Order: sequence, then structure tokens, then C-alpha cells
Amino acid sequence: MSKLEKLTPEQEARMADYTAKWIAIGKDTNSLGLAETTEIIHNYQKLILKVNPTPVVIKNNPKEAWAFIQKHTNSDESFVFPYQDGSFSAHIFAFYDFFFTEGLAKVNSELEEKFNAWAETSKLGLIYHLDDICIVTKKPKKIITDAKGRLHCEDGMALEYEGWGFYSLNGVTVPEYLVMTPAEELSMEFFKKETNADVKAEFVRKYGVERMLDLGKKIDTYENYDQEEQPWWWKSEYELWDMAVLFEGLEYQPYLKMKNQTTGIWHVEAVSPACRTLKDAIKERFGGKEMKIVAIA
Amino acid sequence: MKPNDVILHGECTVFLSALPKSAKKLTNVGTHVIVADSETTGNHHVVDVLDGVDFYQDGETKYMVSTVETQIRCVLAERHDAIVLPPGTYEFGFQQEYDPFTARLNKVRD
Repeated sequence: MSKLEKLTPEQEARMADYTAKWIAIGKDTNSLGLAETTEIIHNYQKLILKVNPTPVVIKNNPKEAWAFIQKHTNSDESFVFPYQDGSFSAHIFAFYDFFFTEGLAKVNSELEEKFNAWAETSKLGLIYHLDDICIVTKKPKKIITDAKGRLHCEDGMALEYEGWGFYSLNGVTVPEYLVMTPAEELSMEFFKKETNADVKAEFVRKYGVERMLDLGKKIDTYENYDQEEQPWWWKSEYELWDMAVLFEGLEYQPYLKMKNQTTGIWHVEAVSPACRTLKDAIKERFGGKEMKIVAIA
Repeated sequence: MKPNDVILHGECTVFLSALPKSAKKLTNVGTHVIVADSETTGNHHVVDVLDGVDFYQDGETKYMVSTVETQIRCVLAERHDAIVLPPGTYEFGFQQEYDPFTARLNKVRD
């Protein structure tokens, strides 16, 4: 078979069909019963793992599966994501499906049979092959994404299994509080104590940067600096704000406000009270080194 | 890039540096090296490994010596665009943020 140099416009156009097909499979929330699950696993064990079939058990969610594995193996090891993740591998199957189905890559019948056995696992949840047993989780009963395909749900868990799940906003895993509390009831106490930059940015996005900074006082702004000398200070719209009002007993507590150059969302992060100007604050962010920003993403 | 220039890729800082004598070369690094990991999203900041791109580590600090262009990017591109890194010797670091409760500077984490 000759090397594939490029796709025809028709082939490229059909890629969208494969994408849609496999996204639907990846997001399908119907879980198979034990008999069908066992058949898929046994076929995989026979053709790919080349081991004798083992008993198969189904658990409601990854947490339950891991608890079972810990007990079964008498281990207290922390959670490990399996090498086979069923429907979550839909993107990988989509790649091969396109080239095989379009006749762009040919494999012998043995390999084709193995691929089909592997692709069948996309009907399952996470799969843990142990020597004497295979543990399979049910698929999530709910997967909510935004238009960009990121986990995102504003009124509940974004990914939910029977008995376990997590909350996400714009692809960032966040505490339940940030999702389930209406924006007008969010407390700045949460923001002050949160240590994760992405979670804080999601707080700012939901709370509203203007509403938040209205509590404080602007100390310095990018507009006070030469745009040619510090173009990225201007692009990021760096500002220094005193948010001491949030902290009882503090006279001055500066925060740096800046815009994410890729997403356009705002980050508001604390700098030390030694920072009286934007220049001080940015220098501190770089570990006390005076550096010129030449690119940001 | 000039000395004292810095590229910001999220919380990750990238700047020209000298390779410390004590730095050890990283082997079997695969297709990319994580230069700043993401605790929450798994959206690590990574640099692509190409012929002519070698990575080193000294303590917790990673370095890169490259004779060809490579790029720093995120596993999931939507959070931060990729930035091209011209050939050079680079050091990777983290921006700092202040914790008003402990009055200490910490690495920015996501």
C-alpha cells in the first residue's frame, strides 16, 4: 500500500461524520448488562490479552471499582486510572475507524478482528483487567458539556455516575459550592481561601470581575506604562488593586488583575503588600527577577 | 529571546538560562515533557520532544537545550495557545502568588 500523502476534499468532509459518530458513542450513557459486558471482555481477553477468560464484575462508578480492587488485592494504593477506559477512548477509535472504513489503511483479517474486539469496549465504562477478575464500571449516567466539548454544568454535576461524580465549569473541576451557589450569593471567603488558579478564575468569571473589584481600590494600571516598552502589560490589561477590605485587620492587600490571552477570562491573584506598583507586582510574580514579557498564552 | 525576556504560558515561566553542571539529562521522555503539571484539569503544560531537543532536571527545576524550534503547549489547547520556542537553553519556572493568610509566596497552581 502506498504512503498516504493527502486526503481528498470529500474524505476530509466525511471526517465530521466520524467525529459526530464517535462523540455520540463517547457520550452515550447507557450501560450494558453483565452478560453483554462479559462477552465483550472475554472476546478482548481471548484475542488481545491472550489469557483465559476471567469472571467479570460491574461496579457503579470508578470509586466503587477502586474500593473493590483495593479489597481484592489487599492494597491501599491510591486510585489509578486504567489503561483501558472504554467509552472514553472513543476519540482513538474514531481515528482508526476513519482510515479503515474509508479504505485508506488496510489491515489483515486478524488485526481487523482484534480492532473490532477492542472497539467493542467503547460500549463499556472503565476496565480493570486483573489476573483473576475483570472489573468494569458502568458508564456515567450524565455527561454535560459546553459547545466546545468541555465538561460544564451550571446546575449540577457535569459528570455523574451512579453514586459518584464531580462538578465542572468550562472544563475546570470545581467544588460543588461554586456550581450550586447562585452568583449573587457567592462569598468572597471562598475566593480568598481557594488556592487553585483555574478554580479562582472560574469564581471570578461567575462572580463578575467588576462586581468583585468594586469592593476594592485601583492602585496602578497598565495605562500608566509605555505601551511600546511593555506591550504585554497592555494586552493583559494588568492592574493592581487593593482588596484589604476582604481581610479584617489588614490595611493593604494588593491583587493583580490580568486577562488570560487565550480564553479572555480574568485572573485576580494576590501579591504581597510589598508591591506598591504594577512593576513591583509583576517582578514578584517572577520570583523577584526583573523580566520583560515577550509572549503570553 | 534575550536574557531577562520571559514567556508566560499560564503559570509557567520560560526564559533563557544556563544549564547547571549538576543538572541531569532526562531520558526516555517520550513525545513531550511536562514542564508544569495541572492538579485540577490534567491540562499540563508540555514541550514537544523533537530531535535536537534535550531536557535536564536539577532539583525540581527543568531545563531544555534545543538546537531546533519546538513549542510549549497545553494538553488541551483551549486554555492556552501554543508558543514557539526558538533554539536555546531554557529554564522553566512558575509564577508566584501571595497567600494573605500565611503571608507566604507560593507557586501558582492550577
